[in-house]
Parts: sequence; C-alpha cells; structure tokens
Amino acid sequence: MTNRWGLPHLGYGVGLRTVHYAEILSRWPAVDFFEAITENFLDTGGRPLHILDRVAERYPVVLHGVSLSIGSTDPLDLDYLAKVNRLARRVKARWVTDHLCWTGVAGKNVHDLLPLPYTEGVLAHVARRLRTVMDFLERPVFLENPSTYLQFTQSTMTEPEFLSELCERAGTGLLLDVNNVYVSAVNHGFDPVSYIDALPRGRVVQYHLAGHTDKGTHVLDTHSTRPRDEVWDLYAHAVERLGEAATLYEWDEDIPDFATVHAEALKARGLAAGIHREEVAVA
Amino acid sequence: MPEPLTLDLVERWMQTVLVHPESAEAGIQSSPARALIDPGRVSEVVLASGHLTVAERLGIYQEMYLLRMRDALESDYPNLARHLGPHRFWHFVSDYVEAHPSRSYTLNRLGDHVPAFAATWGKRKERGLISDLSRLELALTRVFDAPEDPPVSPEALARLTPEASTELRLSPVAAFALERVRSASLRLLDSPEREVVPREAVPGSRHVHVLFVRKGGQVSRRTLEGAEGHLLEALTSGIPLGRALTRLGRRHRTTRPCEVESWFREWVEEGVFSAASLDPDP
Repeated sequence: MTNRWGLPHLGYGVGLRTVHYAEILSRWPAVDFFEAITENFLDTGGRPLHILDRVAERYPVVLHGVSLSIGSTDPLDLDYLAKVNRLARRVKARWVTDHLCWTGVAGKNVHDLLPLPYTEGVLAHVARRLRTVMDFLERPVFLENPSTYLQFTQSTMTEPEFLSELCERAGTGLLLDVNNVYVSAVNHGFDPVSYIDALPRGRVVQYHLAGHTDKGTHVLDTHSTRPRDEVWDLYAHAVERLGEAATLYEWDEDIPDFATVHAEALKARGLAAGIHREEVAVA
Repeated sequence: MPEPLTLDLVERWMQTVLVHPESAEAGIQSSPARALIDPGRVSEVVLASGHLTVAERLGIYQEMYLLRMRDALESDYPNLARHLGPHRFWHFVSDYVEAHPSRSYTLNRLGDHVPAFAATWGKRKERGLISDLSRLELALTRVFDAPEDPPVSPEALARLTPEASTELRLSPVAAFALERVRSASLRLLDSPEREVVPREAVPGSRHVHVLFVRKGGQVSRRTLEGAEGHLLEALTSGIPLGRALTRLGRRHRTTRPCEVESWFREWVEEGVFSAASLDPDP
C-alpha cells in the first residue's frame, strides 16, 4: 500500500537515539523503521555515522531535520541542503521531514523551532521555499506542525488552514505531531479535535507521538514522558479522520530503555489496528 | 508612520528579544530590539493569552535559548563545566554565546571558539588552564567526528629505503589531534561517557603534548613527554623526517635512535599516519 507520493506505510517506528545504540546493535530488535535526526549525522564521519549505516542496512530509515528554517527570511542554506541530500542518498532515506518554523535570521541560528505568523504573505514565502527545497533534494519534503507558545496578532488564518493550503501549493504532505496539536491547543485555547478535522485527508505521511509537561500556565513539548491519554485519544481520532500512516514515538529527555520506548510504538500499532477493524466492520 | 511589520522585521525583533541574557521583558526594552519595534507596539506583534502576557509568552522561548546553549556546550565541554561549577559555567555560556552566537545549522560547531574565548574570560590566573582544558575537549570532539581514513601500514613504511626516509613526509589521519598543554589541565580531563582510554596521567604543571587518535571507532589519548611530542608535532605539521630529526637532535641531545624507532612503531600501531609521501613540496 502506497500513498500519493508512492511511499509505503512504514509501520510503527522509534527515534534512533545514542543511549540505545548498544541495544540496537547487539539485539537488532523487531522495529518497523527508525527515524534519525538529520543534523546529528551531517558533520560526523565517526561512530554515529557508522552506526546509522549499519541500522540503514537492516531497517528503513527516515530523516527528520531541525535546521531547514523554511520560514526564515534568510536565504536557504544550500550547503546544508547538499549535505542532507548526500545523507539521504547514503542511508536510502524513505523520506525527509522538517518543521513549519524558522530557527534564526540575520545569519544566526537560535536552534529553536520558532513560530510563524499565518498570513497569505508568509504562506507564499514558505510554499516558494519549500518547492525550491524539494527541487534541490529531488524528493518530497514533509513539514511537521510545531508546538507553539505564542500566536501572532497579524495571523489571518488558523494553523490547519495554513498547512492545508501549503500542502496544495507545494504539492506536499504532513508529518502530523499529535502531541504538538495538543500542546498548542492548550496554550492557545483551541479545540484540538477541530484542528484535526480541518486537515485534508490523505496528506498525512507520518505521525509523531510524544509526551509533554504541564507547567501550570502553559504546557511544554518536552518529549520526556509517555503520551497522556488525551494525546492517545487525539491520535486515534486523527487516524480515523485522516488515515493510517507511519507512526513514530519520540522520547528525547530522561530516555528509558529501548523496550519501554518500543512498547509505546507498539501501542500505537494496536490502536490503529483496532480502528482499522472497526472501519472494516462498518463497511 | 510606524514601519510595516514585515516577516523579516518580526523575525529580527523576536530573535533579538529571545537571545537577551536576562529576560524577555529586558529584551523587549533593549536598544537593539527598540530599534526594530517600539515596546509600545508589541501587542501588534504577539497576542497575550488568558494566563500569560506577551513578555511571558516570549519568555518561554527566551528561557529555553540559554538552557539549550548550555546543554550543547556542556555536552562538548563536560570537564570545563564541572571545573567551573553550574553558576560560573552558566555565566560563561551566557557571555560566550553573546560573543559567538551559533551561525551554523548544527550545534556541533557552537563551541569552536571556546578555547580562544576561555583565554580571555574570568580570573586572569585561571585563563591558561581553562583554555588548555577546553582545547583538549575540543580536540576530543573533533577526533570523534572526523571521517575515517585508513592508516598507513607498517609494511608500507618498511619498504622505504634509508635514503628515501630522509625526505619522507607523513600526514596524520583525519581523526588525529596533538595539543601542547599545561599538564595540570590533564588532571581536569576525565570523560567517562566518551569511552576514552586514558593510558596514563601526568602530574605537575609543565607543558606536555597530548595525542588523540581514533582507530576502529575507539579514541585513545596518550601523553607524550618532551622529545616524542616535539618530533610528532614536527612530522604532522609536514616537516620531512630528516629535517625533523635534525631539529630533534639539536633540542634533545640525549635522544637515542632506538627511542625514535620505538616511537615510530607505537605511532604506526596507533594509526596516527594516513599517508607517507616523498613529494618534496606536497
């Protein structure tokens, strides 16, 4: 089964993290795919790249970047893109993703996924740059909805409206981070279910699941815990509404052993299978 | 007539606010931010929420900026961080990123200027030591990340005639570093999480050479005393073997040929050299 870009549903994967290298290399666990953080492997010729090579020999790999800075007003970094291209070819990346955000301007990089105003002008800017990136990489690039802690007064459209239109104009799809939807919904007071419902069916190529931390006045996307029940419920709704797609479980702080992280990915598989069975029964 | 709030203006302003070392509110009020957007116009840029003011919402990003920079630098300079302690290291990071903000897509390059910066920061009497310590940590990171290139084999070197050996130039592998530092800085260098194998520890305050080289995925560290360090430094800087040995003879008159042979055997075994060339001007 492939999607409109001819890409397969890769299944239920886990983020490739340093603390799990020994476990992965010694046991080669039954994981559907691994997602590697692109920038961790761009400027290294040492052990990390050697390990990614070995992983890529046995598992499908997708690359997830944090430095594309698609919304910045700085020129695109072609040196960076050339390195992403080389890495993607080297590990036969099934696809490449990054975020709808900007990470710096005026030649500087603050290494954060900063929010954008959702206006017609910004939409045209991002769509133009995304098409250039995809032409350069000769492959589709899918953007992830960010978790955000502020909104711009100038915004004239909602985030799902912006993303839907971006998909149309750039001919691309989405990496839908369900936890980010939940985090932004709490921080900005919108209904996360309505957000999901406003996205186009058939455009989600991959889902992300993660945990967050409640800070009282806002919630932070910390990737430090299991997803809460509300996020699982939202994921189930997204799969039902937008379709099943490769799902990855992210854990980046206080990372537990590999089996614990993998178990969360398998939970997503069980959930999606249940939804699929219900759909078949109804049909 | 106020300037239109273009995306470029908003991004430049927001970045200026977020990298302010004190707070988002201080950032909004700072001269560089005021030059972009007047503090009276911030509500035209960012919406307050039910729980948080505009400055508090910006503050979430502003607080994470320095934390992220600290974590990145601590990852590359764990011993410098431990030596300075959390409070002083925080100030070191704050001062450092103000002077050397990241200009790369990767945080791996953020700490490239730390040794030079450390030589100018903090207590004068301590500067040399923390600069040396950070040079060692930077060398270690670079050796970890360097590409793999095959070392020259002992057999290839053995095929050279004694006459040719005089003109021999040796190139180090990419995953190699040689630093001349105060030996006291070595006592501060202890990175168990990097899987480094310290072969020996050198007490005292004199200068020594420290060799880092990666072979088969494993980085080893070794302290080279006097003559051995000077000879390896000369050779890996491109000086032909004959001239390097003449220099060594002048500087270390008691060095015996059997010692030099023993060093060479060890360097080749460690995988220090990637190529041997007879080209007079490579």
